[in-house]
Amino acid sequence: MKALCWTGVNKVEVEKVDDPTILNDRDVIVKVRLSTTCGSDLHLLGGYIPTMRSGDVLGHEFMGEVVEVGSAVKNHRIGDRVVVCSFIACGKCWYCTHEQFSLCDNGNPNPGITETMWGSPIGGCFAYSHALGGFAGSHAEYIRVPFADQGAFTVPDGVSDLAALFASDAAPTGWTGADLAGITPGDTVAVWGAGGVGQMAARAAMLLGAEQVVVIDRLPERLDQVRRFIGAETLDYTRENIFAELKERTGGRGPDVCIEAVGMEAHSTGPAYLYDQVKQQLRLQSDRPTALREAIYACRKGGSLFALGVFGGVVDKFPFGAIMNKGMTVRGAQQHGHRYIPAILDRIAAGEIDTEHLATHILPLDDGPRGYEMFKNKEDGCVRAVFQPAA
Amino acid sequence: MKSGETEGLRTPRSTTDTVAAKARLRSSALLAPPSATPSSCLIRTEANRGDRDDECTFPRNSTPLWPGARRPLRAGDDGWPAMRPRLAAVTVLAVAGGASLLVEQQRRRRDPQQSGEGEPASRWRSVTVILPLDEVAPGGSLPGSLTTWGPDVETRVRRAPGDKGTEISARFRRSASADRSKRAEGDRARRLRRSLREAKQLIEVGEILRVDPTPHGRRKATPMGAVVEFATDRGAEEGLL
Repeated sequence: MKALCWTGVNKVEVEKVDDPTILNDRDVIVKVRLSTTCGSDLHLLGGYIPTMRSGDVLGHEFMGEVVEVGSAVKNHRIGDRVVVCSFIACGKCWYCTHEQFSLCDNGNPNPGITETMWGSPIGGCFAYSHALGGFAGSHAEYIRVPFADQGAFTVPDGVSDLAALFASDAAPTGWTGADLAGITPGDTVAVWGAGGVGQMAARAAMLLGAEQVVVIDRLPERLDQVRRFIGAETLDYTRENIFAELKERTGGRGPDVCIEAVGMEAHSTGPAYLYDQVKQQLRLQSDRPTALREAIYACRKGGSLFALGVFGGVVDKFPFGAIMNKGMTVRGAQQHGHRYIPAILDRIAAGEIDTEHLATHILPLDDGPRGYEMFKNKEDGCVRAVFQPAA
Repeated sequence: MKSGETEGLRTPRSTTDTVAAKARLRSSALLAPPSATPSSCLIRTEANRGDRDDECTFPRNSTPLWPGARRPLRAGDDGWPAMRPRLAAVTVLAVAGGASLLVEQQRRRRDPQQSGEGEPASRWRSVTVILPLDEVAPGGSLPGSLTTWGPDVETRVRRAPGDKGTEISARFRRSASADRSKRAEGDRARRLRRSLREAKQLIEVGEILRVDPTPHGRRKATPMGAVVEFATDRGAEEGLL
């Protein structure tokens, strides 16, 4: 089959690879209809996640049709139209039974890598390096889905393929952040990053009762999407003083909840950004926490910060004094999608969540390298490049 | 927006809050200062200064590391070649670090109580499974390769606190001996980790999750690729267990 493979730093190629096969009784094979780029792919692409191997198939956010079913699968049959959570979770362990699915004990066949890096292993994820299991990704004609009864969700009639696609990762990641950040009705929420995840976090915050939601970015087309499709306020950090604006909009308090949906390759302005860039390019720090620092400073006393963007290693000049002295609550997580996806699909069907607008560019898989180039460089207003392997 | 509109999504606040409260309690314990300093520490603080002070690689006082350290070195100074102070400092630190590693390695090799990974051979390695104690080892036998170790390994099964399930632990009965190489000790520690993890998966899921063979494109032979391949080959065996 055809697949889009990572072949080195900032290099991807379409190659012929073997078809996937059922390896465990709980597997299904899905014929991929749509598979999208994600901001976190850029960390892989740029070589910031060091456990990639050349030839790894990219893509973790996808939907398609079940074409083969393992002997122990109960909830799916051949022909089902499914959207699949990007994280792989067994549904049986303590973390899964406590709805912390991305922390699954049994979803990662290489637990030693993340246990050594972070002290404990986390679950597996499609195409997110060998540290998260080494599973082949969805930028391919077919993909094997382990623990399919837990991780594959039938798409309701009335929800289009394109709308369902983002219930795989962007929408549940946004919901994870908004829900676990502890948003309560009446809160003011600030979201750093107006990409797919940031937009979905903002929408989730609104549906969870936030009275005021402000999304911060520099790209006009993304801020325009936030206003049109999400209904939140926007701030352009290249034009406005973020801290002063947030203070002004919150009566001098600062946001109750700050959600960082940017991750380890944050952009910003000023000397802090230059400092982070230099240190990261010299590999003296693995991640650029520029937006994370801003969120910590901006947050009100006693407020809550949720780190939703992907970080991989260590950061420098982390303002822990602000966290401690302002009495903040800090949390972070990869998405616990299994917990949220069914309800998200219902909300998409009910018209409460718009996702299709994120797919600004739909391309055949053969154009994958061009799609990633556009996505990485934000060319032509690209928010997400979506691939159609069957096209 | 009304709060009632959030009911569509499952948000078990009570469970989440309970978990968060437990996490807070645990984190307060984690923030306590360490009781002992790692034997290879390079930086001493008030918190880690103590019983293990003799194992630190820096001297107790602040005497300069070499004569004339505060001025640029010149060719012939105390037998040092001409080099910039920063380079000299890095070189000294690298040599000192390497020497301390060698000393520590020798110490471990002489110590029969250490396993090949610098840990007490008698340390229990454990996993926790969610099932209750009476369902974990029906008939007294654990699943998978844990049963193949024979008399070399002692196993223990006991109830975990709260709702965590059951702890399964294993340790080597015999410590490393002079005739057992460090590599062999490391190998058996890794195999034991794999056995424990496999037992957990078999008990909780009923099968061991596989990933190979997985579709992939051409694998280029690069140094970094070799490192990742090595790490992946041992991915089920390495870690902190």
